[in-house]
Amino acid sequence: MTARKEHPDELIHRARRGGSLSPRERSLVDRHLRLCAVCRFLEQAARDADCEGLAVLDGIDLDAMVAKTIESLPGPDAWNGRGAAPGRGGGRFSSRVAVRASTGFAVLLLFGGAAMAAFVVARRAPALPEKPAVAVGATATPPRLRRAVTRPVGVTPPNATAPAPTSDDPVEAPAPQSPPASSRVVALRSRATAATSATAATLQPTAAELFVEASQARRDGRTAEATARYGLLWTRFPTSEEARASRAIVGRWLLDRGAYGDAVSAFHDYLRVSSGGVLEEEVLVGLATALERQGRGAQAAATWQQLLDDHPSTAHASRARIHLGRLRTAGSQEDLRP
Amino acid sequence: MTLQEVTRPEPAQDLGLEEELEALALARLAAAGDLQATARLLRLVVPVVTRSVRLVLGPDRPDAEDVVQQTLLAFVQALAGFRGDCHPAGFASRIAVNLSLTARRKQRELRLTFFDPSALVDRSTLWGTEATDHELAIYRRRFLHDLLVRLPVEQAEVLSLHVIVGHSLSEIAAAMSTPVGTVKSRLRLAKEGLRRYLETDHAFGEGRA
Repeated sequence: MTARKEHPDELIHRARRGGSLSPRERSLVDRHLRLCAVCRFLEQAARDADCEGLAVLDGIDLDAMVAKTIESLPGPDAWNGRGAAPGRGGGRFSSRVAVRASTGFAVLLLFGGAAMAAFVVARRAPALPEKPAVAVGATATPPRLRRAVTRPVGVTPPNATAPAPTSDDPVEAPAPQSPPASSRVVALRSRATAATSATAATLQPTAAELFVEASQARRDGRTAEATARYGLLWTRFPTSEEARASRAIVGRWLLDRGAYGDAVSAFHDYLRVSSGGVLEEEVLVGLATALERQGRGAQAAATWQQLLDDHPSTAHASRARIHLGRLRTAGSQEDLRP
Repeated sequence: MTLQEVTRPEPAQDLGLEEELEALALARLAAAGDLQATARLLRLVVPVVTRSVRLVLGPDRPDAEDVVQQTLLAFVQALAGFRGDCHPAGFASRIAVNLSLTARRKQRELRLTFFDPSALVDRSTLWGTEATDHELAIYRRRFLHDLLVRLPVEQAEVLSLHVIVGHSLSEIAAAMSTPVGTVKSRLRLAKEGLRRYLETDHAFGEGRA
């Protein structure tokens, strides 16, 4: 099997999520991404979605959306014990419930008389759902949970430990007549207990946390804080995926800010630490651009050429050729040729 | 790989046991008709649902909010059949992807968006000159969305959940109540479809493996 035919999907996904990979696994992922245009495209698309996913919830009133859904729900009896297939049948089922309810009501009026109707109403009243005692917004999940739900499923903040249950937490109260816990839930519970006993070696931020904090500070324009966070990341976790990727990101950041010399240093750092890494194409583009803007035409042309030589199918090929042509016609041919 | 501001999710070494337990318990209460638990559960899953819908549907879709509402309703109604094999948010995101793909397929004209002549002109200009990372990301998204409506539903669903929503294969298998092998097979077929699609799209720079 070639690297193109056998896609290491799990490894690529783990790398994207910042999970740990052995050097061999890392090498396999990097090699596959270099060779397989499909996986490279999907990896780029996934990272695009990760970036976009952070902003996609901006300006949306999620509480209002929940309240609207709650209001439009049929009574709990309507779905209790009769799960509709996901994405289908909900409307038809609601209609059936409405028809049955109205038919029953007519029968009651016809034969039962006022006394029976009153009896039925009195009997059904407690079963009707009440609006939550507090507004939906007020029932929002604790901050820890809010953080959790903004991540993809199954992703947990590092250092998470199981907090002590509170007495008023309905989650901890066993549901009346609830089915016995499945083996999966039992296993989860035992693992949760084990997690609780883990200590707090975990108070120090992880590489992922530092990366997120630095990125946020950078986006917010808090340059000093971003620089400090990136520095901490590189010092504490020099071999982490976050540290490697952040060198490329910082290089691009510096390039955009006009700090061409520093950008060149950052890009060189990336190439030194992550030679052959998945960001290499873009780092070479950034490096060549920074060199060109510094007026170092010969080195810029050499970098563009390196990009074309090492990555002949790169998306930046046409761009590289344009720059190469421009540099060559600028009159420094003698410096441009290897 | 782009150099845009990559902020990947936090590491997944731990599975968020406490949150998952709470969510599963809420799902059980909600399935039993507890309205307050339903509200809490919905509040828990609505970010995931909204994110999934908006990413699969694409930006500026006026029906995005409707699809989110449909998803939340379908999710509540399907809770009684939810076996607890995964986090309820995973279950909800599967419904969200399903309904979003259906919404996209209903609007058949969207299939032609990518091959709109003006778009092709724009694209050739783009690739021939200075393409920023942002522009490349936009074209990747359009390309992927176009692919999703061309693939068989099962493959599109797995591809969306894996690439756009960000689930692992095992998480997808749990959310779909399907063996992991089946999920892998669907993803492999989807990738083959993407490869064919890339190879026939001559203007797309990454098209040649």
